[in-house]
Amino acid sequence: MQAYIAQRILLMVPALIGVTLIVFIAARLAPVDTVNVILGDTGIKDEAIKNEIRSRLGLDQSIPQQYLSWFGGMVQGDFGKSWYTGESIRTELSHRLPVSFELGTLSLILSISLAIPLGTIAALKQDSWIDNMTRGVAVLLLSIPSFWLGLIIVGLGYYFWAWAPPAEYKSFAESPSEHIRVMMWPVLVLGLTLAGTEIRLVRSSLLEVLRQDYIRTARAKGLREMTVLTGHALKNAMIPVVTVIGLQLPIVVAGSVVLENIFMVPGIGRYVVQASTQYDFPIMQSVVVMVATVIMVSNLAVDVSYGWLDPRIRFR
Amino acid sequence: MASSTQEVGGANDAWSGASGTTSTRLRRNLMTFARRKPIGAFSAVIICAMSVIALVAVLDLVKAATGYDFDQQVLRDRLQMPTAGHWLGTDNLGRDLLTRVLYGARVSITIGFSAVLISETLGLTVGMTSGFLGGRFDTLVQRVVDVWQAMPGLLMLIFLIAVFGRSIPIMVGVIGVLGAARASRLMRGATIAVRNEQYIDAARALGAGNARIILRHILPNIFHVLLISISVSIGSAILVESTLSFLGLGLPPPYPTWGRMLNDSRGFLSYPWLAVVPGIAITLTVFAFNMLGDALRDVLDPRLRGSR
Repeated sequence: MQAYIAQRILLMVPALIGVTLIVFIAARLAPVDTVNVILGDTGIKDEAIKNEIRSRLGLDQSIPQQYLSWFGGMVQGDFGKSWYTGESIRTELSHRLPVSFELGTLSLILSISLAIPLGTIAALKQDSWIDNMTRGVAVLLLSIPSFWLGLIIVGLGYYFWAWAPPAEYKSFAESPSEHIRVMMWPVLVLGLTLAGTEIRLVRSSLLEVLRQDYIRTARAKGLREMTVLTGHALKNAMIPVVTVIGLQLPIVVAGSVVLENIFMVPGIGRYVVQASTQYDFPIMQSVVVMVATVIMVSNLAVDVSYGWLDPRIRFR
Repeated sequence: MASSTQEVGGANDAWSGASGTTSTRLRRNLMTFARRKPIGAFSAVIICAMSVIALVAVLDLVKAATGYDFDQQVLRDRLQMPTAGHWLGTDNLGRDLLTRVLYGARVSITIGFSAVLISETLGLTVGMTSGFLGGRFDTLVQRVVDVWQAMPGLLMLIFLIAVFGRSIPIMVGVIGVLGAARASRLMRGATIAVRNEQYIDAARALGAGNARIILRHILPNIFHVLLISISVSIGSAILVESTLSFLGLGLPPPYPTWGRMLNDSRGFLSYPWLAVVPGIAITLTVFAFNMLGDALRDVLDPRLRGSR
């Protein structure tokens, strides 16, 4: 077990270096001259000014030097500065990351608390109308684009009640009620979208477990159906569910990128989309690397939690 | 394809009952499929219809059907509800929505099919080799796939599109390569499941090499997994493309895409059908690919019924 975790962590290092290389090299291949983007339509053509901006951004160094100084900074927690505004990316992330994290976590919690009861009912009443309906709803949920669901909510609210989602974000500390009013819609939409996959998975996983011998044994020794379900079946059925929740993290990230843009939530998703329109590569590089790290670490945590959920699983 | 359907069909009574020439057998199989999986058959019809629409749009024949160009503006007729002249109404510039939705299928279907061609080819190659060879090679490949699967796909796409510009090859390449990780896991699992079957041993005893075993014995027997994976992957590729377009990072105008039509509709909340029309187009298409994948799975691989 320890050896397995050590192996995974050791492999994470080259993997992350690979990610930094990919994003860094890609950014340097961009066919736009950063300085022209920064100067925008100021009309400045003076080469001296351009060169000064280059040296201030460190763009006059050689490419390997630039990479090393960026990478070195990342390791020490210094993500560099925005090319466009000159603001520290780390400061900006420290405001935005908790917001996105909250959105993602609450959505995952919502989706799981919808998926476990619905998937369980569907599995217990297999092939009944309630099962068919749940499955239909689940496929619908995973087919509806989250941004369309978001737009429908905004559109319906506007059309019928002249309501619009709050345009200004307030942190929980500033105003708890305002904060909830901003966050509830994106959380609801993302939670519903994620629930689609999870409902199907809980159902099929539970169906599989309910056919196992140890369930028959548990019933045969006279345990109540509820005890069989919660004590024996659900715990075992959760193993594949936990995996998929780990694999859904990229989808959670994608969903929050979109929903932050619809519901004016100042998370990393809006930051990246904004940065992409301004060719602000340091921001995009740092965010991609950081999110990839978070996902890899979470996936490792998920894999390790198997051992706890199912002691039969041995890691090699 | 017909021969592999036949082999897979052996696992299922309703399918193995078919006999006769290949074409009558195929027709009978399709009839059985339609009877047992009406939603799956309906989805297949939607997919065929969408593909035909996309083809018509690629050939620039939509105008012949609807009477409008996708960028033909009639400002006098803007923001109309559906009428006899404009079956789905018009947008804020007086462009015919039906024409634009039909043209949108062109981008979605093209990107969906091409990205999945890449992801499934790559996923099949990696997954089959890894699963078949096993051992340390498999372990190593799977650790690489772990990392591959942890890539934040949409963020990578946004980033690479900012770098290389918004073009179909970039989007297809990135969506395809990132999607291959998931596909390779499925293929590996399926390969491992058939690797130790007796007919593989028999083939080996007859002197078949690895390449021959993989191509002639493993591939036909995991073909159904590939088919299911293709269907579901096209759906998710289309979803990714429309997400990008919605964020304003998809293909640039003038070609209409469903995602951009939705994005454009945000400025006109009092005219909800502007958002309803392209939204239904995306949902219906993705839903059809998902449901077809489900139906194929139930029919071709009864052991996996309802799982995902």
